[in-house]
Amino acid sequence: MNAVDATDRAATQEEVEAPSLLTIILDTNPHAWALLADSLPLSKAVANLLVFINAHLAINYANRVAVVVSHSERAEWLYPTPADATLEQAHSNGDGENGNRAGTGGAVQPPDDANKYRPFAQLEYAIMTNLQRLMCTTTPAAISSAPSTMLAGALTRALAYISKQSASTNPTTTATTHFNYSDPSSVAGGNSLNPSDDTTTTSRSNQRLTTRILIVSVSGDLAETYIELMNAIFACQRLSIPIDVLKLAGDPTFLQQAADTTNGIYLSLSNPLARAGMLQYLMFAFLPDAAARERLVMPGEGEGVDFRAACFCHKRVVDIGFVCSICLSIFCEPLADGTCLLCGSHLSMANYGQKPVVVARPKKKGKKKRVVDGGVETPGSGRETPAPG
Amino acid sequence: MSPPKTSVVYKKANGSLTCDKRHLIWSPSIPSGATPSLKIAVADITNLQQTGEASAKVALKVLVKDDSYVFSFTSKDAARKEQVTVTDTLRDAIATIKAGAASSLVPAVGTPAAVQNGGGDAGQSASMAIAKALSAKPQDEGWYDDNRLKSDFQLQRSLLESSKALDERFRQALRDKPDTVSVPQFTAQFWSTRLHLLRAHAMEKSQKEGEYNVLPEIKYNTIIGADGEPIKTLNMTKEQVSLIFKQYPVVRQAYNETVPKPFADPKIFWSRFFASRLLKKLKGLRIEKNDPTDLALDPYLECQEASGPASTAHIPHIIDLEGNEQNTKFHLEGDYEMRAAKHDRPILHLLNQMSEKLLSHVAPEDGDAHAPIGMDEGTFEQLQLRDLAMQDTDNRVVLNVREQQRYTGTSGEDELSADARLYAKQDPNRVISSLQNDVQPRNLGSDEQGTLKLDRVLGYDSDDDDEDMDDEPNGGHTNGTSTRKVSVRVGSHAALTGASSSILSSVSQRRRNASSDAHGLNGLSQSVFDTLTITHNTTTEFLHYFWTLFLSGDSSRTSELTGLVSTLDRSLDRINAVGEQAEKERQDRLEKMRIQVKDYYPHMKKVEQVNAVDNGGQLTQITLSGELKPSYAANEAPDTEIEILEQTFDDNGNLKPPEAVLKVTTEQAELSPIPETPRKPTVPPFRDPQWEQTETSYLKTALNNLNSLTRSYNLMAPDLAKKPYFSLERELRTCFADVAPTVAAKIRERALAPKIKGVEVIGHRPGGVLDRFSMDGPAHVFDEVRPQYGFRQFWRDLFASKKS
Repeated sequence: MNAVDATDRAATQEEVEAPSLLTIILDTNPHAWALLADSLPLSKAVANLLVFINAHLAINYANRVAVVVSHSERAEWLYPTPADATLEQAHSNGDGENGNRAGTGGAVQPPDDANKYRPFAQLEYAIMTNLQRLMCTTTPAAISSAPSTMLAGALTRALAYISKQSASTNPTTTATTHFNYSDPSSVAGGNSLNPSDDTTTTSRSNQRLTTRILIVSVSGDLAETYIELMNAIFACQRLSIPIDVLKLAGDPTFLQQAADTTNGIYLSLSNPLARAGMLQYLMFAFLPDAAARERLVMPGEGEGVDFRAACFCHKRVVDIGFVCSICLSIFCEPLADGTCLLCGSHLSMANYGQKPVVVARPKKKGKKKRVVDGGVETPGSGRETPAPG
Repeated sequence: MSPPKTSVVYKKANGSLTCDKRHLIWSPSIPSGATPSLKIAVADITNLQQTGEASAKVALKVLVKDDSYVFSFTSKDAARKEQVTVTDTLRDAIATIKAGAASSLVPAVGTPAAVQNGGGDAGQSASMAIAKALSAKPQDEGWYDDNRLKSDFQLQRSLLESSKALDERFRQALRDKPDTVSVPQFTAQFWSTRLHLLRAHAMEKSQKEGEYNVLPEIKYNTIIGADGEPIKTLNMTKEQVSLIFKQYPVVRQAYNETVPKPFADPKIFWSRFFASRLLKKLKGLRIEKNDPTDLALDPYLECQEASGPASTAHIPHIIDLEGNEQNTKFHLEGDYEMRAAKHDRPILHLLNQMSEKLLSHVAPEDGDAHAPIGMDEGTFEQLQLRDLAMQDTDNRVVLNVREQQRYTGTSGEDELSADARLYAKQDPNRVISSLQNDVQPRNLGSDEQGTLKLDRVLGYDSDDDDEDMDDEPNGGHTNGTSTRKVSVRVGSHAALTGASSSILSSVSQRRRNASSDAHGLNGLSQSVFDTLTITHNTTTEFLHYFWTLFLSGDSSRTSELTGLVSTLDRSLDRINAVGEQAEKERQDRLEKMRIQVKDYYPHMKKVEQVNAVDNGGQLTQITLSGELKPSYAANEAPDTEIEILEQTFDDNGNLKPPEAVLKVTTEQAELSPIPETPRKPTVPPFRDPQWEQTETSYLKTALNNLNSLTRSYNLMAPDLAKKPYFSLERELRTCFADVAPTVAAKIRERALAPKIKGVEVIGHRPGGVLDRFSMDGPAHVFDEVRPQYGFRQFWRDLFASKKS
């Protein structure tokens, strides 16, 4: 009957597009940018990114953005401006908590200009000043000691921010995530399930904040933080947050995996011409949010994902490695004392990986024979499995 | 089975020899009940020797590595027999141990000293305990013993039978295996990589059906006996009896207490039982007043255990109140109706109890292997209910890589990646300063007030973009930082176009990948695809084999290795053969398609036929056939030929053979001037004035009607949508024009059509029978007074000759 007398107003509510939070992780490894200075200087890349961010904010008034910098020795916020930076600059206007919003801008006061949409101006100004501050505080000693970038830390910061934002967006739905009595799977898994995983299922119909992460990466050598990086990636997969990757330089190993596991888009701009068109790549490939992506064929190198892993012991990227049968940690060579570095299990190798013998040893047959009889059994996979302990 | 015990002499001391499955134990007999002083592990025995059958002295020599032990059998009458028994037992034990090859799995058996001469009591008992523990273990965990799985041919065969793909793979690999590899070696290799499959299969096979409710299954069979009386018989199997006892403890109790005493024979018990009220109660049937009573069995009706499952009683139902029903006891003795036993239980209750009982019997069966760790089902359930708001403390184990510095700290310069080496070459100070310069606001397009003019930085300005492409890249408004060596400016049109085209191509590639069927044959035929799969499988198999063998470092297996190498060589050939086969198939299909195209396209060849009537009134057909292709280069050989045939029709309307074939190439046609031929008078347009005349009035009316409709429409329509009026003449002309192309063909068709020699009517000849039905001739009028005109008369009229 409600439908008949036109009192059913639920439908109109759903037509509003869900807001989207875009978290950008900008790799500002100074060494790598210095190498790229000829084809794409950092300022250009930032300008391109700003245009992209403005486009994202313009699509939906409720859209938000966050920018984390993964610097050579630390990860820092560019936008929203972190609280300590606001104090530092004595610009605190009292809305530290609200400063996270895209609309109200950071705490840094932009110049007044009637010709610019205010949120854009605030965001641009905040990012610019913070980036400048970051570069000014970087010491040569710091970048010479750390050749790579703190991507894992930046990802973790981004994830923390995302979960905080989605929690504050859906305050009503978080209450229902405590325990779902009618859901049989919730009792089986018990407390191991992430609460926000329930939010994804229960509040899909509501106005849920869709989130995604864009990594603009210029440096390789991510194997140092392989475990942390992969943990962050799996967390993203769990929370169904796509990680988009725009690779400007460096070897692609783990970021390609990240995009592949989380259903994100991976694009690699390897030559100067492609880098010059960075804006087009950003606008064309990375602008659609999760809702739009369901209906689009997304670009990206679909085949040939580099699935190699880094070993836990030397942080080498390996093709073939040794895996602990208990905790699945990866090692590039057999462990010296046969004890897993992670879980402490005693591992033993069967006669795999011996020095190959192709030609039979001439003499000593009579003596060797008996030993051989015992060892004629083929190396069974099971014998490599030790008892836990 | 008690181990054989025999009296023997060892080292001139009397004693007894005992042999169990793992040890050969000799204990001296002098202190009676002495602990065994000599113990030989069966696994260590390398050889057994015995005295000849005929010889009087019966002795057994056991060789353990370098030592030997001689036992003389002293029993007077049965020495030989005892010796044989001991030897056989030993032989069996050795065989089983060898088959199990338990030595590798359980190192404790092999390592203890085989011989413990005069060991103390404590040592003996300890070793016995170990031996017992070890002997007990493999029975429980038979599934997990790799060697047992590997040597269990029955299991392997049944697995192969159950899995067709595996069977095919096995057979194919067996067929292709190198000759130097023996079949046992090969199978051992094959299964060693598939132990998990074997294990799963063994587990699957060891599953058995659960219990079922027995009582309803046992039914009377009614047989008509010899005296014509129906006899009810009851067939029960042993299993059914044991199940009844298990499920209904009260029956067991009744059986125990009644069978020897009141009922001499179990048969009597069962016949009484199946007629008793107890059975009805157990089955959940209502006990009627007139059911026969049984003095012996009726007391058990009151037995408490008769209701409720036997083994679920101990589960506490603390929280689950619903599940408590069965434990509820009514204590209101006063009212008859309130008593639990008198209560008419719904059948559902009984059924539920029954299935609960069945399940509670099942649970401990697999409890050994799969029980939840540290708690039983009930405790687990209670815990689960208490776990209300996920506020449990996090009891995850945090794993950390230990002693990592030991590894990463040692990494030298050579392990730096290419990137890192490039970085190392740069001067950190310069890097920092250049970046600090780069991120100055003016580089981001900041104007005096500090507002960023991003459009300027990006240089997205379509007006001067062309200049940018042609000239030197002007870094004027980009502060000279944009491009120095590379000629592509950031954000230039070329770059943006390149970017969008590359994205589009990757999108289209993605779509192609997504649309292609994952289970498809990738354009191969089924047979080729199957061969491909099999080849792939066997090659992988041999590669596995090769690598395990190659890396095993076992010098004795080099011959196997060489054989494998040749096999892998042949595998390459096989792969190539599959490739060739697929290629051939593709070519065949291409050829077929080509033929199809050829078959199809002649019809598509452009054929123009022009019919003309020459001066003599002859109909002439001119056929223009050929493909008109544009010739790309003027000096190329003309590939376009147009054949012009002129044929005339003969009198019968058949085409005469062509008189002249004029071949015209396009080039010639273009270059040479068209020869001036006297133009024949054009054929007057084919019109049919009579048709026009008859149809005019109708057409006029129809057109007027249409026009009036259009007029009324145009009155309302805006100017844009107004429609023109029709005029008859114009419409007719377009109509003629539409038809005109077909006129020639129609004329030809009519000219070629076979001539009809007049209409022929089939099946009717004058003077036939059917003629008589016609009303042409004079009609007969019959006078009805005479014999009446019936069917017979009619028949005669029809067939009689005209005379009558």
